[in-house]
Amino acid sequence: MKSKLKQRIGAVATGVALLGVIVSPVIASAASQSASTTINADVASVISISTGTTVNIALTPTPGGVVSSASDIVSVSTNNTPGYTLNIADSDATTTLTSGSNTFTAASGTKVAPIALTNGTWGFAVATATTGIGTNGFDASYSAETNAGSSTSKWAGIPASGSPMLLKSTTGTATSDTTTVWYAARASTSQANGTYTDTVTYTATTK
Amino acid sequence: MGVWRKRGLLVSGSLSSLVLTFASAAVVSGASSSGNTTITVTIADVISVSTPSTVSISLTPTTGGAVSSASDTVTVSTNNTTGYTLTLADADATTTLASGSNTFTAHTGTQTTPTALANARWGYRVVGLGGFGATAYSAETNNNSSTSTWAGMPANASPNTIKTTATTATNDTTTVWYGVRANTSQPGGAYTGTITYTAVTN
Repeated sequence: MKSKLKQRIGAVATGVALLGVIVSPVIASAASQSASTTINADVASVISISTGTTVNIALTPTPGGVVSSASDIVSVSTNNTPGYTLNIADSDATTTLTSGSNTFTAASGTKVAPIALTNGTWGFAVATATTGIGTNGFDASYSAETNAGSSTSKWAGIPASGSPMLLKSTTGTATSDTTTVWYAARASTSQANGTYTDTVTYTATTK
Repeated sequence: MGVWRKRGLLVSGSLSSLVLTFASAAVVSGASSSGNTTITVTIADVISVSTPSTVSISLTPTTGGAVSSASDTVTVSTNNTTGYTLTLADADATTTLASGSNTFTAHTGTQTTPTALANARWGYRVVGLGGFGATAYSAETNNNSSTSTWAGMPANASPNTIKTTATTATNDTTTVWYGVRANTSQPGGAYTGTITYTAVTN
């Protein structure tokens, strides 16, 4: 009797043990793994520039000489967060204004040491506080002059194409950021009449 | 083994991202834009003319008549590359030299056909112009046998052109001679008239 009871208990225990074996693989199936992907979106910096395209200066010379001036507005937009630099230079290696064989020579003044124009010369200028221009000797501000016989405004000669001059350096994005660039010429009656022209190039570059 | 492949892919992906980032940064630093502006300076043509303002001629008449002359120098400057035109005329419609009611009448010769002065006449001449010829001329003083030729001064409404140039000029001078002829019937006195020079850019 006892022997049969032991056999039944043994059979039940074996059944439970088997059940345990069967349940155990179900618990093992809950293990998991994960993987990550980094999304990189690189937005390129872009920059655009526009100018007035033409600056017209009219002069009626006198024996002693007179100065006339006019301005150009350079507009720059960029999404570049470090900002941009703006440079100016003649469009070629010849820095004279020409009318046939007659010329205006680029002023001998520089950005650091601009000068009042002498007869037969022309120059450019920006306000001395122009952002990031660096050391300069320009006037605090400029306004249009027309046949001014006693002009004292100070001007720099345009650099040749190979030696552009820094006009502005910013530190943030820009939307139609404007820079006013002034141009002037001085002539006496020995300056032949006519229409003198030259082309300057502005270059805006992201930092 | 599968885990190692996944890690390998992740590492590989990271390197790709870095490469792209560096390449992108290179593009950013080079972005630029240029614009041109043409600078135009227009120089107006200007001109100036000057004269000594007075020409004085002294004459002591003779019975047959004598000629005296003196010169004026007209100076013109202009920046006009196509030159200028210089004209002269009497300052008004009356072309006589007058001293009260007494006069010298403008000569009848012309620039094209200048002639010797008759008594009580006055005129002008410009060497090298029209019929005056290119022979040098010098002042005459009470010359009883003058053969120099002269033109009569036109009224102000009909100026005569005495010079036309084709380029700029700096103190370009023109010598204009004035001569009178008188005999003893000409009353003494100071006779005057005013002429006007006009320089116009071409």
